Amino acid sequence: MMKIMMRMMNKVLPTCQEVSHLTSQAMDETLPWRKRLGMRLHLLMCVWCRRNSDQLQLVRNLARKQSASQSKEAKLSSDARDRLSKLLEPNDDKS
Amino acid sequence: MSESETEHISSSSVLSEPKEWVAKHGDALFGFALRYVSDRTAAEDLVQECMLGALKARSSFSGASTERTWLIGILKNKVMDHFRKSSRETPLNEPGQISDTDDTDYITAGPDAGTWQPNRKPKAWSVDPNDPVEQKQFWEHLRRCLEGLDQRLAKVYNMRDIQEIEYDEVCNVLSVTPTNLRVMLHRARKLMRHCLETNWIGA
Repeated sequence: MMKIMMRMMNKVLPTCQEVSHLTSQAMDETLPWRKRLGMRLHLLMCVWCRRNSDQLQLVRNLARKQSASQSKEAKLSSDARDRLSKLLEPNDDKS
Repeated sequence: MSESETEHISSSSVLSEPKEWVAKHGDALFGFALRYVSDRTAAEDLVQECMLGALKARSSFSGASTERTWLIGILKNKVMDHFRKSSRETPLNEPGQISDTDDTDYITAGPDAGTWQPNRKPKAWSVDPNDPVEQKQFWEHLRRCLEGLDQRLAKVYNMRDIQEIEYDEVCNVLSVTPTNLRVMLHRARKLMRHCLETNWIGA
């Protein structure tokens, strides 16, 4: 049953393979409405593509969040701090 | 108006002494740089270039933004220069090297063409993305998966999906066409998802 539905769906809607491209593309830009509609309808009916789409977005959200929170905790080492301070001393200002 | 009040009001439009920058903005600039380059030495170098650049450009500070924003802007330019330079050393646009034709995830012929190969169907992920322990494990696996990726794919993936650089800016800095970047990102994301499913979720 599932198989027959999938075959019919692939005739009118984008295939799983195409949806995978659209899913990724939609993470970077707004898709033209026809493509967006095709993708949405396919996602409504196909659990694997839905998982794929959800997981791709989850991975990106987590990656960006982790990267941002790590950079907030970063501290310059005292060596680097000293070196930079020396560079910025008024007597080094040749401009 | 007392002197201290004058100082307070003008502090948003006038630069403080350069020697105070390290204490005031050092960590923030370093953290910003560290998001784009993974090793600390490279990040320190970028902060240094930024501060020296700022020292030279001091007279052009218009006061339209805060000192911090101004410094971050200079740092961002240095970061993009850094990427530009490294993309000249390993060019991304060599034709035919990154393609999507070797796609083994889908059935290629017959009535089921374009549907998932049975063994490549995405599995359900039972993770709690709000759990700090899971987040930490996720991050470790993500780094490891990234190391296993083709260098060029890793680079675009890093810039776009981890460092949050705008799509157009990635194209610009690496001199790749939007179409090429789209293909590379699709491929990178697919490989990363699969790697994470195998190693993080499946572990």
